Amino acid sequence: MGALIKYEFRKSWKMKGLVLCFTAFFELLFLLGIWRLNEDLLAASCTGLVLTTICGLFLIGVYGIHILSKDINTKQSYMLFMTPNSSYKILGAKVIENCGSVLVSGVFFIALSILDMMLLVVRYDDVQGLIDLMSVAITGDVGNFNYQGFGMACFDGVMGWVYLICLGYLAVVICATLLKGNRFNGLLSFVAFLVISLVVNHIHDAIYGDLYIYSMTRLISNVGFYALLTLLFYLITAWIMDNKLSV
Amino acid sequence: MLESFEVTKKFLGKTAVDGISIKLEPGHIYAMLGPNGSGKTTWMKMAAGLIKPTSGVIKYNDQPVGVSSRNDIAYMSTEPYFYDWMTVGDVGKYYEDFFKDFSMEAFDEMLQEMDLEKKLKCKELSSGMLAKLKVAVTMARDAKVYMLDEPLNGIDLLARDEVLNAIIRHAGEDKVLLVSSHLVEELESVVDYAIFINKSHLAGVYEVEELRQNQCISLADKYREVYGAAEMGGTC
Amino acid sequence: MQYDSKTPIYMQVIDAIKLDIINERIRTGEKLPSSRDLAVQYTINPNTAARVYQELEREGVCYTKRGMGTFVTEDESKIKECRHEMAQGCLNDFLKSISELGISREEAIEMIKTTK
Repeated sequence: MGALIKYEFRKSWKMKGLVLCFTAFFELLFLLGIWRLNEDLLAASCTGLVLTTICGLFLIGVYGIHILSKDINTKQSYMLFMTPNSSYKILGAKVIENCGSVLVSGVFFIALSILDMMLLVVRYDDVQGLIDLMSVAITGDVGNFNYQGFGMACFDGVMGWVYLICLGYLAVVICATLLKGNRFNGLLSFVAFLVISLVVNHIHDAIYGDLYIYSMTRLISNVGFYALLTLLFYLITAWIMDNKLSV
Repeated sequence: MLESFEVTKKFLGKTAVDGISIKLEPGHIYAMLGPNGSGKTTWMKMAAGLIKPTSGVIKYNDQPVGVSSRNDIAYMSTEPYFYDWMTVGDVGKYYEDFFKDFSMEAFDEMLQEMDLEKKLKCKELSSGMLAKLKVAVTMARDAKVYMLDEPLNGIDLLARDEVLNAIIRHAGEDKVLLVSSHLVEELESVVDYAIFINKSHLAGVYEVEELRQNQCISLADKYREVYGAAEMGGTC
Repeated sequence: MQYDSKTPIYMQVIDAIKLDIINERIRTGEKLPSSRDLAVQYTINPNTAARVYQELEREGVCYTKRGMGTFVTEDESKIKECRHEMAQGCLNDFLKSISELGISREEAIEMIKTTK
């Protein structure tokens, strides 16, 4: 399993390195802005950091789905399937590596943003107004904001993305197995992806209600919900690979 | 020992392999011969545990092949399959990471014999060099069964000799070697037995020297007889 | 080496080795390659190579020292015998072909004498 994870990382480290470089660049700008108390620089670097976070997490996930697609649809599939590893392990390594990367970078971005906010609070006296604004945006109320809550809300978002990546895996595998030979297999599997994610949304809303209520227990159970879905889609995908995939 | 019992594989209604039963014993080199698209590759992939038969079973040492038999059965596909970013050395490293029976010394030795450098990028190798690399890395395993799918496809005469040498060197009393080809002559002197596959069916298993000794015909003659329906009676 | 398609490959390799011994490309008493190396040298199946040595040994052209390998016999008369046998084989082939052409023995002898 270790070797599988190692080579999964080997396939995607360039993309991750790129995201890290962008983050470092904007973070440096941010620190420079803090030091010089230069608001233009701060605004630009904050925008840059937020964009890098969103795009970075998006790209890492999508790139992982692209790698899986390449690994089961091209001749390179032998590289994985000739090794004495089951589909469960092969996909498991991908889930651990890719979702792990998203989680780790997600946590990294969350920690970084909290750190940067703390820095802002220390350097600027009137930044509390800004924090209050964020508090309203996230929790719907002034003064409800705390760093734990903020972190958990972000983590909730990251987990939501992790489950979507696993759903993407499922769509790619369905495309290469059940729909193989179909002219519209790419389109059909994308439709399947959309339909399943909509269904999941409905289930989610049925359980939790469609209003966004900010509370710690709610967030934690949300994360659990997505973790369960991730596991479920992993098992279904690996089962299909094991039984239907022709390398 | 590798044994196939009435193995059939269907893809979307098309039958690629139809009821093939064969038995491969250690200590022999087998050729799997037949025109392109006759089902050789599909059978090999099933024996390698890469795809599952629609019906029938392939057993290695009395156990159905699957994930764990890949530890003992080394399969080499026709098409190059290495990752684009790999160098020749990376390919060896990859096999070392995944196969307990892989020997880096054996690999280094074969690279030297075949004039391949570890620093070379797989992307930049010629088809002959890639063919040699595939054989070198597969044969550097100390597997019990080797299955090489069209190892001589599209390579020049010298590379062909080097590949055949590697195959001969690694045949052993406890090993099964299966080499497929759609050209009969290039394998005739190297194999003990030839398995003929025609239109997804087994068309016969022949012993090369026995054909020459008792029927006074070469394997190529037999091939013409089986596939071309031409009578090739020899005179001893 | 090119193999003709009618005779067993092991017999063709045996003839090639005998020819090498007769021509002293391989000397009497010299060690022969292991059967695996022989297989590589002639691009033949290792089982065929083992059979080559078995046959050569049976005919007394080679002998095996345990753990040392296979050696060419030092018995010169054995090698002479080989030469004679092979020459006889060539002659038989020749006579067969020439008679198929409808040429008599006497004519053939005359032709041999006049052929440069």
